[in-house]
Amino acid sequence: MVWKESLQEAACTHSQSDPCPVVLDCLRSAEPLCELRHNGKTPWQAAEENQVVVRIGLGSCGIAAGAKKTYNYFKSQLAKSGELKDRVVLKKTGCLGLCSHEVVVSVEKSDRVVFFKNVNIERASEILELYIQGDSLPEDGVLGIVRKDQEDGQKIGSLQAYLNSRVLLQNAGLIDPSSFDEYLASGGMAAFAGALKMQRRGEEGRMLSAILAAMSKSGDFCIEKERLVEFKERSGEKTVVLRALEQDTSSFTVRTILESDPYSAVEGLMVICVLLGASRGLVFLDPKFKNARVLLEDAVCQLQEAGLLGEEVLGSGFSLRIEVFPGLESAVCAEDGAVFAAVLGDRPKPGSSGKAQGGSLTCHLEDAVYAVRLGALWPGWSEHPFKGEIPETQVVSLLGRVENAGCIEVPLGTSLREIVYDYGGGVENRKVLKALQIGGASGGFLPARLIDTPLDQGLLQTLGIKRFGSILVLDQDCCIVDQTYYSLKEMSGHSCGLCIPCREGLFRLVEMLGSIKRAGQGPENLKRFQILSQLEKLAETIRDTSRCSHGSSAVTPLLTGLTYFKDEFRAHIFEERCPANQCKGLLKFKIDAELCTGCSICRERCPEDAIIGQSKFSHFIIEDRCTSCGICHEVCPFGAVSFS
Amino acid sequence: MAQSKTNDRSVDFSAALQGYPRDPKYLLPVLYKLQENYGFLSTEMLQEAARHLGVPVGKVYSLATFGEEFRLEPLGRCVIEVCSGACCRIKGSGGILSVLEAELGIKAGQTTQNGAFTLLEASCIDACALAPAMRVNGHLYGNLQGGDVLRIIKEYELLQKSSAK
Repeated sequence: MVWKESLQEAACTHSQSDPCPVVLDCLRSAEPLCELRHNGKTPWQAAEENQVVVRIGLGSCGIAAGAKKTYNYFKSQLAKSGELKDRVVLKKTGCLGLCSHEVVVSVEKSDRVVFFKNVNIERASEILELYIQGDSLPEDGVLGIVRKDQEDGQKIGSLQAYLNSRVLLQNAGLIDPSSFDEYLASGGMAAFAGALKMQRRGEEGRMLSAILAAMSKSGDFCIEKERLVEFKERSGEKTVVLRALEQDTSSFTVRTILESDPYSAVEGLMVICVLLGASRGLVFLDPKFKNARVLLEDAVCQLQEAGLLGEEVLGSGFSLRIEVFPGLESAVCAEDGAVFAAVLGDRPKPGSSGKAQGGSLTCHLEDAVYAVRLGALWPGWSEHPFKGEIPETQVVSLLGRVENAGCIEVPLGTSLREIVYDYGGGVENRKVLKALQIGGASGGFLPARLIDTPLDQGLLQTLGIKRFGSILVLDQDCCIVDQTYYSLKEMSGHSCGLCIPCREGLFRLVEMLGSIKRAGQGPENLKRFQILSQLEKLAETIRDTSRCSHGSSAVTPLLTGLTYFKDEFRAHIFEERCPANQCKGLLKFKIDAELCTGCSICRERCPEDAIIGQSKFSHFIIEDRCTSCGICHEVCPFGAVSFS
Repeated sequence: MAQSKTNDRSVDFSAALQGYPRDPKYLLPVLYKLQENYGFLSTEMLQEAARHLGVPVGKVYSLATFGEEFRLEPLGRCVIEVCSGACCRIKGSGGILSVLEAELGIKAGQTTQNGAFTLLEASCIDACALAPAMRVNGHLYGNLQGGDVLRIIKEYELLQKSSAK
């Protein structure tokens, strides 16, 4: 083959001391095999002397917090002033992952980069006047400072240390997600170059180890080696489906990666396709991710223009197509069978286990991005790869009653205490932690006393879950029964209905939990007392007999809830009492005559006509009619409706 | 979301389907495309999709009724999406939803008789830092309380009335 001959002829002139600045130029040249390049981890080199670069995070979360307003403000201010216009460059970035601090603006000036948090227009003008035009930092609103001249790993500010520790999210919030050039400058496409090189040299064994190293990262859900080999050796058209779906129902990890660093996701898929000899890659995208879809489609277009996708990639005789496919968000799509069915235009059916099915194979987004990060190490690697060289991390969506909610990346083995208190800043309003729900609606509860448990495979086994994306923080005001009820309701709603344990069983569990969330009447009470034993029995049956992981994982919150918080279930069932005052059906509502102004807002909205009273005189709730829906409490502008 | 003309049977849906090859594989993209263009999927649209791709209508229907991605009824003029993600829920989106249900006299997922409001439960509307949050016709409202919701709904009611005149 031609390219094999050229391999011997034209060697790349780059060396360790004179690394290749942008891998693309080398890729395009006759012998596109240069891997010796600077490990451009940070984009800071972009700024020239005396230049100021302002970067504004425009991820979904940022936009929700008003990032577009802030961006437009900077834009208009820069347009007004000629002096600023020449000196200041305005850039968009993805999401840093720190949702509670949005809008995040970073200003790169001289030797350092300052990150500002919660930048509204007022703060923006302060930053512009005090810091950009002057040289003094505003008193508050500084999230952290990163010094450019410090080497990686040196701990100056906690933000710098954190940014340096990220692997999968290494570009998130730092580069412009829509710019191919910035991606290249930050070290992008090195893994693809490495994979192409192995493919051209025909290094089959090395390719297999590389793919195994990348895809076995996600522990239990890893692909079996035999299957992988079988898929690799299969002839004919092969498709790799990148599952760009959240790992669990409350996570936003995948969305953050896609919106901040879509090129890494696409490159990951390209790398896996090359290593496995597949000519078609499909991004099976959650249809909710509208912003991410635009970015991904744009990324694929740019890669096509650059000649890295399409027929004859860089003249290698290897053709590669990538398509962005809006899939289904339903949780049943955690099953491969369901994904393949949807891709073929069938109603998803779970059950057909195994990753390789016919000419198709699925991989997780995290694995694909991990392959890209590993790829940067390929040059010096011989037989047993590098797993120790890149720290294994877990990207976690931290949410709920926590001070700093967001999408963070932590090394595996970090204790949950560190995650909640160091990364998350502790429980909101300094309340007492009650439990963590790890893994969304299909995840288990962990009581506060076990918070020193490290985050690793052992923990997941204890909880009975396989993988997760989110940690939900619950404080003492949250009710475990209520949380279990909503988790099961969500999973029940997503059941595909093919097998009875999941379809009927979950429905009954929801019904039972619903009934203990409200006060019983007459004969209902007798039934109520049986529920405690029935719950556990039914949950175990569902876990053991469901056809796919959807049903068996759906009961995890209930089973862990019963293990660690049985008292709370007892209180609901036997005492008709909700210890956290969350289950409205068990509460009694009362209007405080002193606070009530007689505005009648509650009276007009009571669905049971249980509130009486004249306008401008204090109102009263008739207890017998009240169904404890709580609407009066919600709508009262004076806080006069209390419950006990 | 274009909702006009949705009940007009004479609309030619095939225009939206141009460019999609006659291959069952394209069923999901076609359904998304139709919903994007018309706001919901009518029986005629499902039939047209089946004809275009050469698959039985039953198969189209079975995919369109899977999960919560597709709507088979037209949306109201004002679409209210209340976030029911874990974050919003533990910060009180359940109360917000019950207030809206009582105020509009409909359940989540339904549209009012006069077609003015559609109330939806959204799985996550990307505003976790502003929980509980809701989106009305694309506008985001965060850190909600029951009273705020009533005020916002009033505003949209007035807006609709004034634009009707």
